[in-house]
Amino acid sequence: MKQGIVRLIELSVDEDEVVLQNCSGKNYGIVVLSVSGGGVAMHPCSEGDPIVNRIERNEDIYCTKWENHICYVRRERIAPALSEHSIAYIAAVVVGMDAGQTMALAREIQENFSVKPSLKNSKLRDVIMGEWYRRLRLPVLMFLLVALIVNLLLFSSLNSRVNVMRAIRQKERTQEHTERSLTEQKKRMVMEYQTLSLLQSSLDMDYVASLIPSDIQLILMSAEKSCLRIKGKTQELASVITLSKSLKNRFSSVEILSMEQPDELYCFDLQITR
Amino acid sequence: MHVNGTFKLFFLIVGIPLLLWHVTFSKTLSLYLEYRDLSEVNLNQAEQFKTAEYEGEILLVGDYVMDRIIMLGKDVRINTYMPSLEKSEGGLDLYKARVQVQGRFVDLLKLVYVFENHSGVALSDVRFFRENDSKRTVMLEMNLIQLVSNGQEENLF
Repeated sequence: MKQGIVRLIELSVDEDEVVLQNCSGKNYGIVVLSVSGGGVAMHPCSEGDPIVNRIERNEDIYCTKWENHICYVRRERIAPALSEHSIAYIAAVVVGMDAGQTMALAREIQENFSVKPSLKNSKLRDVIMGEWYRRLRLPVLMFLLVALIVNLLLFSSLNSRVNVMRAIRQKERTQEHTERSLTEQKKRMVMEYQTLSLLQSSLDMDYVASLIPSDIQLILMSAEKSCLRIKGKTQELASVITLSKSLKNRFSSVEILSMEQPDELYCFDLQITR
Repeated sequence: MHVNGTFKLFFLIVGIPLLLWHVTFSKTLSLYLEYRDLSEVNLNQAEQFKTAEYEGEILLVGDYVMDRIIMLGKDVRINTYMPSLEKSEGGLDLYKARVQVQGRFVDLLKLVYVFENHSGVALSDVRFFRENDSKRTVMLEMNLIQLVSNGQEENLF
């Protein structure tokens, strides 16, 4: 991948012109320049040579130190040729007399270029990221486009299903609500029916009637929810007391609600709780 | 405007997917979750209140009561028999019949016993009384009630 990021540009520098060899495209990210040709200057190398030191320190010159000589070229000499292309970052420039040798060294530098240490350099990092962006842009956008289409299909399919299910759920809710209210109504009706229904009274009434002494004349005997009520007339007050005592043997309580004597007979009103 | 490579790469890898997630993918996911919930949901069925015991014919508006009174013999006389529909709710009808008969106490008590022991009807009120102190005959006034299913709930759904 690092070979892909760094591109190699070969420049042939003659006496009067600079030509970019095998050059395709206008935009380049990081490049290694291989500069060779007759327009390249050369100076023999010897230890302590002040000219070599001056060449190496000069920022207006691209130079490469070979085994026994140093090759160099002025930046302004190749700048017009490079200005036609958009180069983000020049990683290295190899200047040599022999085109093959120069290219070989430039290719070695290109191959050994490492991204990791380059990330510390903010400009270079930006260029690398830009390169990655250019490379990833199309696949990522294609992937996202496919994802969007799949999402659209999925959404429309789900939406139609969910709409149907919502309608069913709504119907079920309405039905549930109706059932609940119906159940409540039923409960109310059953409750009312049970409240109205009397306990079994006939056997109790038969028992009460069997205990009535002959001198008591019954006027009324009625059954209410949990009690019996008897009204009668008698000449003897003691008879009522006897009756009351007899009834207490079977029932939980016997109350005399009233006792009157409007004429010669006593009128009584008893309430018997079952 | 110069936009640097780092920003562009970040926008491509993180920004655009986040934007798309926010705008569209999240909606699909929430729709899917709703779909899953709707598929799994089991409605809490409304409590079923059984009223099977109230199904059957309406006894109070037919000849059932009269028949039971006649069976007691000629000594028992019917003074009043007034059946009516008291209330109708929740698929159930509450019928009421006010009955006034006259006869011997024993016969009338038997009649009360018969109605008390019938599973379909109930008594809401029983009263024995004499109209005239001198008379041997006793009056029985009672209210019979019956709760009957009218079958309307089956037509609701």
